Amino acid sequence: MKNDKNISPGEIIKRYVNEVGRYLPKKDRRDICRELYSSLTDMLEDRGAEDVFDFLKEQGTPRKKAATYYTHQYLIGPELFPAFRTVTGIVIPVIAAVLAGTLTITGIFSPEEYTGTGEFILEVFGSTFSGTASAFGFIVLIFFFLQRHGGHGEKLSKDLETWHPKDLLAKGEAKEFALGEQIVRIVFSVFLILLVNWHYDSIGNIISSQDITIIVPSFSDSFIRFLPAVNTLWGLTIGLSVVLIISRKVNYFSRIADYGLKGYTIALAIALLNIERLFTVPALSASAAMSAETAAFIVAILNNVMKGIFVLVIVLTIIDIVKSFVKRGKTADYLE
Amino acid sequence: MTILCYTHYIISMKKTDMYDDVRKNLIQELRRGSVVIAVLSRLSKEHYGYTLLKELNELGFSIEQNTLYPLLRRLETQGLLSSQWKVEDPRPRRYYIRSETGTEVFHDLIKESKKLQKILEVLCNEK
Repeated sequence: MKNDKNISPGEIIKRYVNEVGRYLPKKDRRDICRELYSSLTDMLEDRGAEDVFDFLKEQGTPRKKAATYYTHQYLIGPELFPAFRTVTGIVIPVIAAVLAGTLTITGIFSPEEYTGTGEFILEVFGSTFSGTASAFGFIVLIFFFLQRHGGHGEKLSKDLETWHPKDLLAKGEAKEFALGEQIVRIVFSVFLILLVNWHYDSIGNIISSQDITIIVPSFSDSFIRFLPAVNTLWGLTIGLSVVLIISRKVNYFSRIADYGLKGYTIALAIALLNIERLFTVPALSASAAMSAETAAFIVAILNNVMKGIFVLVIVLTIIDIVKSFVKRGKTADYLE
Repeated sequence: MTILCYTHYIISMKKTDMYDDVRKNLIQELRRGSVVIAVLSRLSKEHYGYTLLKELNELGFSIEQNTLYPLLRRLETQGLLSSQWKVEDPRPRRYYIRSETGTEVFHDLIKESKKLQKILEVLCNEK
């Protein structure tokens, strides 16, 4: 039990019930929690001098307890749903923004592809919708697989082996490990590795097809020199997340590794900020759809956008470090 | 020979385990069908979850808390029970009672159960 040895059985049950509440549907959460608290307390009192920890162990993990309130068969169960919600909540908007942005830029610089503004708008909305729907379907499939073959998340989370009522948190205390957060980290790192490396290899020239020419600015040599360092960061991020998912525990070494990675992220972002030109203007062919001045203007905008992103990364990483000291994911009290 | 006997022993043990599991599952399924009747039978009078649990267990109908509480909520959602919180010492408790619909359904279930019981008796005594 966190920092308190003389804690009452009632308080321990309260913590257990609040943890169960985290996995319950919002609509009935408070009501179920109140009833559960009342019945568990009755039961413990009735049993006399039984140890509250043994009693709660017998009740099963909070996730398992919450799962008894779901009588229907589901695609993604209550154990994995919070992680599913986090992943979709972040991945879907990002994919939608990237798709919409890419299609808009393509449309602006190669308007010949569309017969009119209407078709262009339809294409942007249609493709963005189908792309995000596919991504959503893909995420659902992954979680469905985890649900069916991951032993309802228990084998994955090793809940039964590691759970102990002594680990229950009081109101306001923070959870140290979040499965969803680690899955998001892995998904994003893989996405960025594929995007940047693919971008570096395949784009950066004038792509011509019949009369249509699209100019995509390429990364500058100065930036490419940093690519191994950037890939290392993403590789290490994936590695750390995989270790955390397997061990399901934040220990001293993983915490040090996490801070090390955050420090490395900030250092790398600062180094990249100091590069004068992140993108270069590609050689323009005679059939180019825009002038060299326009291309240079786009490159300048992209440079500034990219540098803005680096500043954002630095600020967010610092906030993340500060937050990890202040404690995150505080436990709620559903019995109040 | 020893190896052969041992292999036979292992196989027969595994079969016994398997049949034990099958038997347990079938009994569980059989009981599952009667849980609703058992719960509705006690709720002509007000009960809160824990007293109902104790009463059912004392009368020989063993039921777990993890089964009873979600079932009570489901029956209430279906309109067969109604509930209310009562503030009493030492803590507030949620009391359940059979609704009018619940009583009708309960009597229907009893009828069906008796009918089924008769049919089963005939089927099982048939030579």
